[in-house]
Amino acid sequence: MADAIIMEQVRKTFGEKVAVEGLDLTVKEGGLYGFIGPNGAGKTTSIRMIMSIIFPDSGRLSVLGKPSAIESKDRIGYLPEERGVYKKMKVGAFIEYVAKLKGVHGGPQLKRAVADWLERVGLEGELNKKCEELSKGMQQKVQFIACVLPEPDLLILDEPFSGLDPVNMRLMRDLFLEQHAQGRTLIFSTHVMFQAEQLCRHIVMIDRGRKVLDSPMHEIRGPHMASGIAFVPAQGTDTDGARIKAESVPGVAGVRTTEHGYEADLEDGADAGDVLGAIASAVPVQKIELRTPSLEDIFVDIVTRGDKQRSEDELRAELAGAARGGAL
Amino acid sequence: MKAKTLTVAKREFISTVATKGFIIGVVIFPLIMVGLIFLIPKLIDDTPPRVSGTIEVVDRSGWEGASSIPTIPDQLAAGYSEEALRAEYDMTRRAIEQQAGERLGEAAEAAAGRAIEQAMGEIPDISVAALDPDKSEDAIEERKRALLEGTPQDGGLLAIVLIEPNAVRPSDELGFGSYQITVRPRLDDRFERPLQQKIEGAIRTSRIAAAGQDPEALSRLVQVRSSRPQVMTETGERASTGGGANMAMAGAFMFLLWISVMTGGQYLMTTVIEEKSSRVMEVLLSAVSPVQLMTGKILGQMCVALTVLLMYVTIAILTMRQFDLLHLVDAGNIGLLIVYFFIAFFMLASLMAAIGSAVTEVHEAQSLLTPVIMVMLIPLILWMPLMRSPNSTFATVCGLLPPISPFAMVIRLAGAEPIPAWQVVASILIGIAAVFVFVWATAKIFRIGVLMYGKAPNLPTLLRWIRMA
Repeated sequence: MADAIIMEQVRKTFGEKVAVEGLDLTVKEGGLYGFIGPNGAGKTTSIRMIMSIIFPDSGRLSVLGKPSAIESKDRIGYLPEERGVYKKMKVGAFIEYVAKLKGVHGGPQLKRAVADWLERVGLEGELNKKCEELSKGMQQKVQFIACVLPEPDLLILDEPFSGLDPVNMRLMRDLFLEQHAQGRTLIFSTHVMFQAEQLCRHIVMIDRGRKVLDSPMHEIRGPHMASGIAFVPAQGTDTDGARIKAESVPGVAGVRTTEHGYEADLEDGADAGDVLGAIASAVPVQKIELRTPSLEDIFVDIVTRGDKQRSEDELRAELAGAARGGAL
Repeated sequence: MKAKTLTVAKREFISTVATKGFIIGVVIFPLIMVGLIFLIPKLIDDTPPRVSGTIEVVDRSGWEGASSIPTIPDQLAAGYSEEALRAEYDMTRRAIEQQAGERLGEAAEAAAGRAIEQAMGEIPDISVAALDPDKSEDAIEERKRALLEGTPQDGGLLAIVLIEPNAVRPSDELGFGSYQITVRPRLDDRFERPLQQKIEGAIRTSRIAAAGQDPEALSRLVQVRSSRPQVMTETGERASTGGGANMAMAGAFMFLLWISVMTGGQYLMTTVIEEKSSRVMEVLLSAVSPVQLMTGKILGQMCVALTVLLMYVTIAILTMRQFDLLHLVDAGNIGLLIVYFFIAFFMLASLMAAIGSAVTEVHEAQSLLTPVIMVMLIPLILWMPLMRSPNSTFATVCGLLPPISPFAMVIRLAGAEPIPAWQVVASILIGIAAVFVFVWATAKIFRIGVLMYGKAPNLPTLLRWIRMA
């Protein structure tokens, strides 16, 4: 399969601040990629460079086979992080205008396409309303339509779920998957790891302007297997006693108190399955499970391993900072 | 590529013109203004209140009167008699009507007649009483207290006139004396001037008679009927309208140019800011390049400004045709007006686009806008000197210096002396060169500015952006 986007050693600075450094990236055609990382990591800057809205200081870039997106702008759908509409413009007119800027010919066909799309996202009847009369979530759907209506080959969505309620998040997710199923290349960025985990086939992690991870979803978990065993002692048992017993199980490095119960950390080289069995037989439990790391855990793990200066707690706070998105 | 620019331009034009703000501000407002020009004279009753009362005269001149020339108080009384006042009014009216007719055509004559009637009001009822010339100063001062009583309409005392002792016959040391008038407070100001003229007339007549001459014969000798100059034109002679109309014309066309360019420029700045602050900018930039966007927007607003200009010029020309003033407009100057419009518009539009792209909110634009407005005000403030001496050094410099040169040139072209043709050519060439520089610099600022949020940049920052990109 051909590559939709190739970035080689791309670097971008804003004055003193290095936004993106030495970024190598290849996005396969037809892929569903997630760019993840905390706010300010360089996701939007990378996307803007892909879109040729800003230009890299150095490095090579190729989009849809062309040296820059300027030559293939009409084949790219882009939903920016900073979304906006013309407040006084009518919804239908706005979508038509953006579509025309993308090279779609005006006329009755375009009008029909706009009406069809509005109906699909549940905005039928809003065609002749002014954009400012719509709620923020509705405006976001309008922009999504403007973005996909020209039937682009590549779809770039910057934080597409922010500001949406759970129902609309699900609707948007289905629409993305549909676009993906139609063979389009999809890239979306988010700082809410959980969303990426549920949707993406390929993950690119960016932190402080550098790429820290780039691999298919199913390969990510491999080297980051179960890190511990979470358990909740059975009702009526002596909880402190249960904890002491669990600590004495071979292969357990230590037991931490968590929100819901306890978590046993594994010693290096210990087999998670064996330890789980041993804890279960040593302590009466109402619930016990292997803890598989979330994307967030993996992200924190990678970053703290690469940079000893940054503490785990700080990093998690950074990620939670603006994370208001929920489950899909 | 070109199609996208035109799509932007079309949206820019329609979204500006098809708004209530534009229709009210640019179309309806001038119509109301024109309406008011015709309506206001009818609304405002300018008729002075009818004055009624007595003028008391203390005549110390010692002029006793001769065979045909009576004393000064008697002359004044005759001057304020009903027949004399009516004759005076009729004469003034005829003179004004005739002048108005020559100037503005028959249509205006009737209007002028009405205006005069209003301006002059009803013939006042004024009587003149002579007081004892030997009345003491104290007694006169005492009498003046009466001026404070009543109203100018109740027939009471209106004014006290003191004719000085040597007013008619000069004394050796002091020469001729004069007169003093004390009037009551809150008297209509249209009362005082005729009173002065009548007193001066009476004193003059008395002096002539006292010198043994015949005042009427002398008056016939010194009076020459004045005649209005005629201007030779291609279509024959016509009455000169004097410099005033020409000047008004130059001012008016410069103002039309100014207002249309400013309208387009203002809209351009606001729409750029709107696109930035509503964050629609990035959506646009994912489809078009910043330069395409800027070009499209400038072209769109150019059509807006051109609409405004053509509409106003058409109204102006139609109005002038109505009043038979079309000969004042030089077709060649209208052509140059259009040329200067494009130069002025592109210069101002690029400044406005640069400012709009640099800031995020309208109020942040204020500090960057102030210097632009200051410069733009120069032709408005200085049109008079530019017009009076279009070939002064100052006017020449203004005519060559962008961005005020187009405005200065429009005034100078209609000015009192013809300006050298090379200056017209030079101003156009410099103007076009300046347009390129302005647009080039703005494109640089625009490219960086449109995605820059946060603190509004100052002038040095903008200059750095120009050097940077």
